Formats: sequence, C-alpha cells, structure tokens
Amino acid sequence: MIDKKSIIKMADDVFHRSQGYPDRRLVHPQREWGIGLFVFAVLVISGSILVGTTFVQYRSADSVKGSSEASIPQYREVITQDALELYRARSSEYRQLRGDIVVVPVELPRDASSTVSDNAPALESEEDVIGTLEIE
Amino acid sequence: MITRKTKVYGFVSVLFFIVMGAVLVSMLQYIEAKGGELVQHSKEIADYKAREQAYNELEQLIVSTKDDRDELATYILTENVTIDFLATIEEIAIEQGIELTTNSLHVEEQEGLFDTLVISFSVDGPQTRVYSMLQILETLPYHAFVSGVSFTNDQKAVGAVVEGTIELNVSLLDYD
Repeated sequence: MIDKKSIIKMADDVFHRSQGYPDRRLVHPQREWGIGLFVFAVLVISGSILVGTTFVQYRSADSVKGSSEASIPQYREVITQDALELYRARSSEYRQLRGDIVVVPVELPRDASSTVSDNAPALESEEDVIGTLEIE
Repeated sequence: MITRKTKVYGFVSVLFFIVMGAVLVSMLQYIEAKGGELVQHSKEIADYKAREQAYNELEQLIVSTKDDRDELATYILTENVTIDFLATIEEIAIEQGIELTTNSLHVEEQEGLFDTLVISFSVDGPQTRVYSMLQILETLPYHAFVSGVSFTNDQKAVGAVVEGTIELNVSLLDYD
C-alpha cells in the first residue's frame, strides 16, 4: 500500500521534473504536426524575405554608374571664338599699321604717289607690301 | 509513449535540421561574399567605362579644337619667344625711325596660368612716329596692353620731337 510519504514524493518528483509543463512523454500528433508546420512556415517566410532582400540588393549590380575621377576641362567655345575674333581684328590692324610703316620709308615721286587710289585694297602683309614695291 | 524509434527519428531530424541550417548559413555567406565581389567588379567595370568615355570625349575635344587652340596660342607670349618679341619691337622702332631703348624687363609672378612681362621702353623721335609706334604697341597681336605712357616735348629739337617712356604689359604663359 502506498503511504502518504510516497505519494508526496512521487508528486514532488513529477512536479520537479516537468517544472509545471505537461508531461512530454505523452505524444500529441496534432500538436507536434502543428508545431512542425509552424516552424516550417516561419523558416519559409524568413528564408523568402532573406532571399528577396539579397535579390534586391544585387539586382542592380550591373547598372552601377561609374565615376572617371577625372574632370574634363570645359571648353568654352563662345569665349574662345570671341577671343579669336578680337585678336584676329587686332592682328589685322597690327598688320595694316606695320604695312603702312613699310610704305613710309619709301618716298615715291609726287606724280607717282598721286596715282595711288584711295580705294586700293588693303595690303595683307609685309611681304605683300615689299613685293608690290619691288615690282613698282 | 516515446519509444526508442521515436527518439532516433527525433535525433536524426534535429541533426538534419542543424546540418541543413549550417549549410544554409554557409551558402548565404557565400552568396553574400560573391555578391560583394560582383558589386565591386561592376563598380570597377563602370569606372573603367566612365574613364574610357571621358578619354574619348577629351580626345575628341582636343582634335576638334586644335585649330582654334593653335591660333589662340599664337597670341600668347611664351618665354622662348620673348627675345623674338623684343627684336620685333626694336624692328618696329627702326621701321618707324625712332630711337628705342629697353629700360627694364621683369616678370611679375601672377596666380594662375599666366605671369606678366613688364617692359619699359624709352622712345625718342618725331611725334607722329612715336604716336604711330604707340598705336602699333597697342595693337600687338598678343595678350598685351600699354600700361603707362609718359611723353615730353623736346624743345631743343627741330620740329615736333618727343621723348618719353612706354610701359608694356604682356601676358606670359607660365609652364610651371
């Protein structure tokens, strides 16, 4: 016959071992399948999220925009053309003035100088002036 | 009841789960590492393409602007043609029939690509010729300007003769 002491000891053992949880030695197929399916679903969902994140992360890897790290100097064509126009005009005026200078030392006879027309084309260069003078 | 067979199945299942978890983690790490390499290689390729494009654009710019740049360069004085420049000025003075002496010549350091060559001349000659010389100096086909002029009439000379100084500033390309 079981005495009171033995019953208390058995209850104490059961309580101590199970720590208040139901006895795990008992199998409940529905519960275990539920837990299994739940864990499976959690794994599938978290895996899908992880894979999706990875896919999004590397999907645009081939469309990365590169940087040359070299600055191409900007060519300001308008300013260049303006400068060229300015200096072409200046150069033309300079050549004209120097052309006049070359003419100055040559003293033509008065009657010869009178034949020079005011509408004569401007001499382009010093060489032209010298060449013209030599011919004359 | 938990039988021995159930325990074995459970143990094998847990073991399989752990092994598959480890495999999964290592595969994810592998994918992460390869993904990092992919991104790095993609960046390098993109950088290379960008550099190549920049090079092509620059090359095209250099070719298409060569004539203009060459012409523009003729209007800028460089150190190696400074002597020729001075000789040209003296030549102009001789052509004009005036006396010209170079008083001073010095380079003022400037910030940027150009320094300034400051030349001071003494001139002596007929007024019209000196003024003509001044006009020529003002129209020199260089990036230059007359920064100072000082003339006095020579009372002793016959006719309108002036003497004075002309200071010319010319931009000098600094290769340094």
